[in-house]
Amino acid sequence: MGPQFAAMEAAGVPVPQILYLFAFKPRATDHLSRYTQELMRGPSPLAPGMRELIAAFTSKRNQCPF
Amino acid sequence: MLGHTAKVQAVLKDYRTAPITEAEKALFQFLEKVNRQSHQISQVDVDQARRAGWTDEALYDAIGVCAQFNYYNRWIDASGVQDMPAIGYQMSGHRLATEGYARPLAPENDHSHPHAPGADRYELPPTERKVTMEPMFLRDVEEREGGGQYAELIRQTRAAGAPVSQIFHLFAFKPAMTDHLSYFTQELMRGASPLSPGLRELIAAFTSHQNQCLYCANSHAAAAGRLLGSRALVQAVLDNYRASALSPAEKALFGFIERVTFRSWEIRRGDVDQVRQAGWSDEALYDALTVCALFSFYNRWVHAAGVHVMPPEWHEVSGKRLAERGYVLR
Repeated sequence: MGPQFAAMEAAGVPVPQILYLFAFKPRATDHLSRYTQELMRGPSPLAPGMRELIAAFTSKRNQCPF
Repeated sequence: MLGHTAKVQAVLKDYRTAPITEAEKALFQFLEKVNRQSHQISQVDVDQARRAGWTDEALYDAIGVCAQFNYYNRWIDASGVQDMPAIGYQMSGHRLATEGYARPLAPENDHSHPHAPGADRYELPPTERKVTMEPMFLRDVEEREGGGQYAELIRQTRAAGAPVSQIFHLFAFKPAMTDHLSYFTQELMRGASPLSPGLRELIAAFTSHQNQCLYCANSHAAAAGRLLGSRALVQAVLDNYRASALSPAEKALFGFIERVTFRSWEIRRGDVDQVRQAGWSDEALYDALTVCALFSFYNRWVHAAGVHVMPPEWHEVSGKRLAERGYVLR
């Protein structure tokens, strides 16, 4: 993820710090990303937008702004 | 994402008065309980959501998302990921909506098609005692054949006349998704870390015990007992870690984990500095809070889908399997 961070910084874009959490142990977090991708975008009776709303709802209730 | 920012805001403010359907309101009511009181979810709650029109698959997915964001919320809070300016959220929202959450894996890390387990390699729970398990709340999840490594394990277990651990159904229902969860869990719990696998299992058991998830607490207490060589220590930590034989540094770590479990949004830089001063590296803290966050996910997933606690000897078998073989069936 190093070059990606550098490119974001060069473009004046704030790097979301969660990306550092993924980049620290990619052997583990590559699987976490793929799990999350399948959960949030894979085949489901719930539309991706509805799944994002559930994610936002949960985070709001847990007082987590992300 | 729904194309109506105002609608999203209304749901986040108060779903009960938001301009959404009655079925959607029933779903959010259910999810509110999954989020904060998953140990109290019963068949009645699930049936109520089902009567509003949701299939078991929809509920399985909704529970999965809610539980997964209990993971992310803790991961973010406890590691001090900071709030961003509005432009940052606009950009990450755009990225998630267009590219999603993952890029393709390098081939050496792509384990998405694991081999089916060998038929003779699994120790099955003892069958002398006849015990009937309560059905799961999500019947379709339990009844569907499912696929992948866990479906194979379920078939083997049934063929041997042994009881099936209900968490296997949660994995077998959507293997294209859960295979990645298994590999993530395996790497987190057994991969390179300053924390021993036994200590990581103890953090998993401790978190599950705090969340009143008996199923997870019992299985991971059994695994921790084997890996640490002391079941008494594990029990003492679950009963009251402050009075246990843990070292002062370990007690500081478990105090931190307790906060991540219950009130992660209150964690500040000073809290992390304090546990770091007890002697833990950033990598140790990253691993510890990630284990805690992951089990905050598993506890809700297990509770809300209705995975029931098993007789103690079955949990011992699960603990032995986790201690000896880990989280990926191969």
